Amino acid sequence: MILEELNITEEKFMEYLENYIVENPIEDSLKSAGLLPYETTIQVTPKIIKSSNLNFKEQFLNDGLEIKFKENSIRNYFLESPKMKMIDELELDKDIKTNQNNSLAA
Amino acid sequence: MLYHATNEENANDILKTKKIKRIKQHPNPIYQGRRQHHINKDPGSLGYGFYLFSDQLLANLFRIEKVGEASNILILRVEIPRSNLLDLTDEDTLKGYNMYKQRISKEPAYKERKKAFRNSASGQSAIEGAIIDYYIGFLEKIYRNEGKSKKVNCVRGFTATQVKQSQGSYVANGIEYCLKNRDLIEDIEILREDNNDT
Repeated sequence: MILEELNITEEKFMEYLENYIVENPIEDSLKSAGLLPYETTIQVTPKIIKSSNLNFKEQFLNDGLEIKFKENSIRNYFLESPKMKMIDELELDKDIKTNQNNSLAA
Repeated sequence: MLYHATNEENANDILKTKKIKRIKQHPNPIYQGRRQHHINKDPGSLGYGFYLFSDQLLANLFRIEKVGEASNILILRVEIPRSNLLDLTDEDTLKGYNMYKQRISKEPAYKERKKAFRNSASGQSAIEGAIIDYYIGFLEKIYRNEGKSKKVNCVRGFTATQVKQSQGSYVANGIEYCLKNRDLIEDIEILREDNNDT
């Protein structure tokens, strides 16, 4: 089972509950996609991306095509970057359409 | 063996390829139980995915009452590794989930999902499903932090499928599986009518 296999105490689980309920879906999704090292934290505001990993920030802006957005409110945060704006025009619309075709409706 | 009730058209499509074409799940981890406006259906009570009954009788009652006469029961052989299963029929696992729900009940994340989804009159608890999907993200995050890898591909839970004999009862009348990865399906066949006279 999931928790059994994790092999942590209830106290440790409680500790995670206290400290890991962080509403940062962008960071989570980038980590899940392997695009952001787990030890890195980022903070996204409507105008800037602050990252504890400068290399990542630079790489993200240069290599943003790998990142797929489906939620406009979050996508728009990233589009504050001029580079992402360009990417959006060229690629993201196509990407969203592709994903819509590939997903859902069973 | 697990059972899925669907209309004839879907059943025939599935049988032709022996695969379900798509699983209704959000492929992007950014979803995490949030409303996605391009998805025209809410999650089911165990989150987005392909739903299976463990009980043939209940699957058939559901088929007759909810799907309609022009429908079939599919029998699926599914291999679910225990390590990929979020088993909410297990007391300890359920306790962990309930602790999580209690913890986030005052958080914006919970309020956001409560606002975005509605539980349907037919008994689907979309809010619960969205929270389960969000919990899966949380569990996977803990695993990463513990230096382990985890992918939850299936959720199992007691559910109260609303059929006539339920009389609106909240007491669970079966166990359902919500597959989040179609690769778990090893074989699919149709339930023949002579075995289908419940």
